Amino acid sequence: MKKLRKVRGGVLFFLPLAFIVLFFECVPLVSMIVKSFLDEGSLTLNNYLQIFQKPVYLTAIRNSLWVTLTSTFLGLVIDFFLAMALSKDTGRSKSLYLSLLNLTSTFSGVPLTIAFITMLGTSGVFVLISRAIGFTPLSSYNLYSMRGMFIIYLYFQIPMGTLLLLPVFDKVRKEWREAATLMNAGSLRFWIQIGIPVMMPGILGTFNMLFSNAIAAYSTPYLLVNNSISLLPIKIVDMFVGDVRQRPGLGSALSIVLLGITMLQIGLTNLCKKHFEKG
Amino acid sequence: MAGFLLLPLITTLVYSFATRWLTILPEGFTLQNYVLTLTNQKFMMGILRGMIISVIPVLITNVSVLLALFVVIVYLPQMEKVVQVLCLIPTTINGIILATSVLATYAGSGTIFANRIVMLALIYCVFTLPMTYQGIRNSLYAVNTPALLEAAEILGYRKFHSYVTVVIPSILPGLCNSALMCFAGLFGDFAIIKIIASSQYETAQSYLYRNRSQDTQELSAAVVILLLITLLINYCVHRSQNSKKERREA
Repeated sequence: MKKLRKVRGGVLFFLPLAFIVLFFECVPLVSMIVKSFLDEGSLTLNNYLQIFQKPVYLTAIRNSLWVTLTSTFLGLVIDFFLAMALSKDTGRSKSLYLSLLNLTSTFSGVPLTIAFITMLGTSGVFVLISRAIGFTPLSSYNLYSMRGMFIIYLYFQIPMGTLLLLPVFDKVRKEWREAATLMNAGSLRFWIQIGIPVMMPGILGTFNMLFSNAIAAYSTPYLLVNNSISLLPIKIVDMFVGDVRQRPGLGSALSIVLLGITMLQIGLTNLCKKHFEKG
Repeated sequence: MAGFLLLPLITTLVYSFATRWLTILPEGFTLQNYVLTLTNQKFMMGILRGMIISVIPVLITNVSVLLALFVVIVYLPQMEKVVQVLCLIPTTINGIILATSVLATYAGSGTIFANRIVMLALIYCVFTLPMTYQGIRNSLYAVNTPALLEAAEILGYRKFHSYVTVVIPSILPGLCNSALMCFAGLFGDFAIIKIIASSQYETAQSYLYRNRSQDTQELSAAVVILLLITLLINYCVHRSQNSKKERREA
């Protein structure tokens, strides 16, 4: 009896978290799933059909996937070499570099985009300089396009990915490298056959983070291209708060698609991870 | 690579000091932009508002996770998995989906949740939940809380009493760490605030957005100031991490 009363007292402590989780996580999520199947009050698959039939939404999905995947892969490659160089490095230069990574990893969203507009926007500093000296590749740089925007995506993938990959490099022991060298395996062969497979779970985890980071990026495209290029996050938000007609049903369905993409990607990387963890 | 990472920082910094920059080099340097920005009431209020709306959710989340984990550790260890799943769900549903779904559910519902500021604060709570949960859980198990509480009970203290007076102070450095990181994350948020309360509650981020097409030098100064704030937070996190390391080594 006493134990029971204690548990009941404990439930009281549970309330704040339960309240937040229930009303602001579970209820909205469920209501979003329900809404995605509703169209003007009736149960239908219309919203999903529209997404997969109308070119606007298909382009949005394709664009989002393109910018996310390319920036994630390219970012991951850069992060890999950067972390590799850093893991060999010691002392002052390393700690300096780490502070730089830490600082730039918080440099994102609106401030980062404004910094890039200052550099490469229509009257950006570098554009002006290149115009003055006649350097054409930069003088006509168009930041307000998919390819132009890509550089910002790449920028925010680098610090975070490198910081996440650094501890993974500790898993590759020095002795293995020495052993490999003794057995006449070159550096490239060592990394392909031993280093990277050992690090794979960590690399895939980093991939997960970078992917979800990029696919959900909203401020950067919103500031730069807004509606001229369609991207999934922007389309979703437009459905709820846009200036045009608001369509929560369609927006919910789009959200579910975005959620589905993220979950599919996590599922796939987890499958790969299991394969590599088994060895 | 360091160059690529530094370039936007340096350019913004130089640009914020420049008077007019139309060709290769700026025409001169001045502090005027900073004076203008720092005396700009709207921007400063935006920073203040941003801080308030970031601090409150962090506090709420920390307290509620601390209370819930106390119950889990002491009375209901079998609930551990459930709490973990619930706390980690927000990592998969990103801020945009979270914000739009909450907005669609409660906007115009006539309840207290329909208030945009309340909505925003509570969404931020959910948003920081994963990081807070992981930070607190790791610290709680690092100091072996179950054993500590057990020992305190044998000595005649009530478990909750010793939880508040012994366990929480001992995990406070770790707690502050994750809290500061959450704070920095919220302070830099623009997407959620844009969706929920774009016009009603202007933070520094939304100020920057609204004035994006105006005098860019002043804007650069504002960006530098925001960066300095995050730098300060970063520095605090690092210092507390280092002091923890030293204590452990000593």
